[in-house]
Amino acid sequence: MDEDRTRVLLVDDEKDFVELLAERLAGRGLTVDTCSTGNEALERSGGGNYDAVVLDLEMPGMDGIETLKKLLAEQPELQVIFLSGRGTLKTGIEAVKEGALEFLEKPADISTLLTHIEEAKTRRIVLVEKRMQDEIADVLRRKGW
Amino acid sequence: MSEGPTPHADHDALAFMGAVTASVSHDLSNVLSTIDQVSGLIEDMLIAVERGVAIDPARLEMVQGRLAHQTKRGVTIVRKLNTLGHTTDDPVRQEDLALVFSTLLVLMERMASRRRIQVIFDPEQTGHMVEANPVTLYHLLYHALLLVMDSYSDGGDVTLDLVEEENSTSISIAGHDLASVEGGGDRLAVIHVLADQIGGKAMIDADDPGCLEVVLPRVGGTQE
Amino acid sequence: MNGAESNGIPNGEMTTSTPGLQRESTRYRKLWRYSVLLTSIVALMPLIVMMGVNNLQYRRTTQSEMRYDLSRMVSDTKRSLEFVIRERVSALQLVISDNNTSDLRDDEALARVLKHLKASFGGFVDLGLIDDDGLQRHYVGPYNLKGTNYSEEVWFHEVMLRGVNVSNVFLGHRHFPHFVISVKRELESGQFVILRGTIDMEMLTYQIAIRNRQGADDAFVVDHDGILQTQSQSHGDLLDPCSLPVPPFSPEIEVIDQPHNGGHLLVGYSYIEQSPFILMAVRTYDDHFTDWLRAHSDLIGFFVGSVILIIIVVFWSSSFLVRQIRASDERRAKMLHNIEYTNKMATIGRLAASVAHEINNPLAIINEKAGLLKDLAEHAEDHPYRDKSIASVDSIIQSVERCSAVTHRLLGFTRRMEPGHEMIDLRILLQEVVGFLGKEAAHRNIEIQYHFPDDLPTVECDRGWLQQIFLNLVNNAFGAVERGGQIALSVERQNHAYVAVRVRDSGSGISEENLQHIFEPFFSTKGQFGTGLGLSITYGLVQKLGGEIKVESREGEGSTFVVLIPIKAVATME
Repeated sequence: MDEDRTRVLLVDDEKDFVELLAERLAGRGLTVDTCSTGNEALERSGGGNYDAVVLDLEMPGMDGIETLKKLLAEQPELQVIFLSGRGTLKTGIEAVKEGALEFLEKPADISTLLTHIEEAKTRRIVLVEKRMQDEIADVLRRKGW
Repeated sequence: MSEGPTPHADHDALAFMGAVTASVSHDLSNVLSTIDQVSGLIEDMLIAVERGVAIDPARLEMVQGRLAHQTKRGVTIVRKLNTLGHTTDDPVRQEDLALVFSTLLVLMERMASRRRIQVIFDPEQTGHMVEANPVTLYHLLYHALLLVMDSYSDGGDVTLDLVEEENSTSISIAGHDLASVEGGGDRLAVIHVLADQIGGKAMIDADDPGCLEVVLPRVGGTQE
Repeated sequence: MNGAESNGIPNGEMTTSTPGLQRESTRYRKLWRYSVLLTSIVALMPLIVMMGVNNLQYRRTTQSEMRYDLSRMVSDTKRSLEFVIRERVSALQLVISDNNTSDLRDDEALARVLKHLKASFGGFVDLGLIDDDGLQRHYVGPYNLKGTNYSEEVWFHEVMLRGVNVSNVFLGHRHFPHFVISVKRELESGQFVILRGTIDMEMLTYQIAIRNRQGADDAFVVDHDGILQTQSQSHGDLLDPCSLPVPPFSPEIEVIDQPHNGGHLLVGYSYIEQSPFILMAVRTYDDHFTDWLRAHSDLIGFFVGSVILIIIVVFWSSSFLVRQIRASDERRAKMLHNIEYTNKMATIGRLAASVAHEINNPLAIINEKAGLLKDLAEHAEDHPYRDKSIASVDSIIQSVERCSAVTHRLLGFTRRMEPGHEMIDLRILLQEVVGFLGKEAAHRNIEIQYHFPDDLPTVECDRGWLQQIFLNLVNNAFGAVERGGQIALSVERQNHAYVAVRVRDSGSGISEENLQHIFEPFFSTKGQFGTGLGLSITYGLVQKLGGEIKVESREGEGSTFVVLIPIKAVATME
């Protein structure tokens, strides 16, 4: 697998929508996985190998905000973008407050979505590198070199 | 998130209309987003064609199928929404309960799916006519369905049945355990008031605490 | 209240507190007071009068006894005194007439006579012989009075005139009381000689003392001027004026009532013949009341006992009477109120239905015509007021719709189905109903108590309506109590025909004013949530089931809704 390819997880219970979007993103060179519930999202992202997660706000079972909280609790560097048909200012603010990168409303322009996914990837890389540096510094300090 | 009943406004038909349209508009927005994706995909294909890549017919067929499905879905929703909109036309009219439920079930699909509820209803049970104020009738059955849906904490089947009795039609909506519903008392009280307004009654089934029974006077049945 | 409930007839809505309660209760208090007063007077008066009469009789009897004792004592003493005086007068007369005057004109002979007189009669102190010139020629006695001239003395003239004289008491030269008896003898020569004997007053005092063992508190002698001739115990000293007036002359023995020192004394007296003396015996009235009390202690005991008993009975019977009157007043008022209330509710229902029917038809016409107008306006594109007309017609149509909704709602009250008939265990049904509110109860820490007896009949009734009725009432109770409040549900058999279900809350209660309207349609105290229909629907349902609903409430003390449900389904009447 090409290491440079951006990996995205799409979470939405609208099957048609999510599959079409996945196909279009794949056509633009992204590696895309899809699932339809918050629980599945948690399972899939367990490996920590997604650059971005695109979440719907409203899903059966666990809703978007709750899923976001659980995802971030497991992986603080994970970048989450909300994409929802039910955007209100209130829920948007709440999502950003809980640590989402962006809140987009359906139907979103694919280029806008791509821009945000790229941004998410960059931020994630920065965060991961920073964490690694911190860890190295920490190890160096502790070993006394 | 906000379609759940807010007890203080529950008896108000306007609140019911608001809750339904909010939910339905979400569905419609999904339909449109999907169609938008279809359009985007076709655009992608056209760009590929310009680059000399041939269109895969199977892929095109898939895209067409989705488009047709979403359009049909959108049309259904809009039709049912229209039906609901026209409930305010007459103060009293005769309604076929099968049609009322098929309308409500479409409009409440999102509410059901969020709760992972499967509503089992045979739309062929036509001919159960009720004479009532349509807004109140829809409002009543909406609350009744939602209450039973909320009797599951983690999804399940809600079974809808219509039974003709001597002077009345009995609608049984069976779920899990109605007593476990948060705020169930207030909600049942609202259902009572609504049922009363159209001369009917609502009760918990004696043998099944998960089954709500709504009894409405039958058209042609002997009235007082 | 209890009386009303136990009479077995369900009596609909009732209010524990009625307006003007304060005024009412003072009215009953007044009634009670009158009753107590009147019956007490009627019952006690004869008793008191009888006691008074008895007392009076006793007083009369004791007084007449006293008078009798006193007059007997006076009579005895008078006779003794008269005898003593007459005896001594006779003795002196015998001495002077029996002897030769010349014999007496000898001091030794006179001494012998005095000695004999002393021995035979006693009381003689001295003797003197006085000539008609008033000069005492001869004298025997302890003093030297020979040659004293008495010619100026009053008694001398008196004896010269009448032959005998008994003098007032005087102390004389030797300061002991005595009196003098003088007798005259006419000699053949036409001259007089007077024998004068001094008698010790002790002779009389002794007689009085021995006669007065009983009957008088004080007995003494006064002269006609009211000067005390003997020592008295409480009316003055010897030879002082007596504190009592001189009684009028009477030959008989008299007993009179004599006012004295603010009180009364019983005074018996008698004029002593042949002397200036009046015998007086004084008796103070006894404290007859204390005597009477002592003498009739059993009667008094009976009287006091009777009075206490009568008062107790009077109080009890008055209270009972007033309570009965009040209860019956309240029952009547309640009945009237119930009739009025039921009528009112029925009228509201009928009125609502007929108004709704009447309004529906014109509404339909208005609606149709408005629609037509709208179509016309829409087609007439060049009409100058087209948009305005359409907007107006729209608002007409909207208003018509609102009216329709109201009329339809009103019609809903009258168009109900017949109740079903199922055998229902109310305990289970109530628990089911409360089950719906269980979560809220837990959240708000509300305690729910059940008081269910074991032997409860099932009722033949409509399940849906019962659920609705009790859900409403329990929901209401939840609305009424604060966090941590209490709700009690009880079921009991009221009588052969009804089961009573009580829903009691520990909430703030319902004001008297609201209590009057609580079952009326569109009446709500809850503002936001209340549809204002809950309790009126409940009322209608209970009526429809042939039961009754009532509420008892006091502000600040919570409310109790009581629903009476017929055990056997009744044919509904409407």
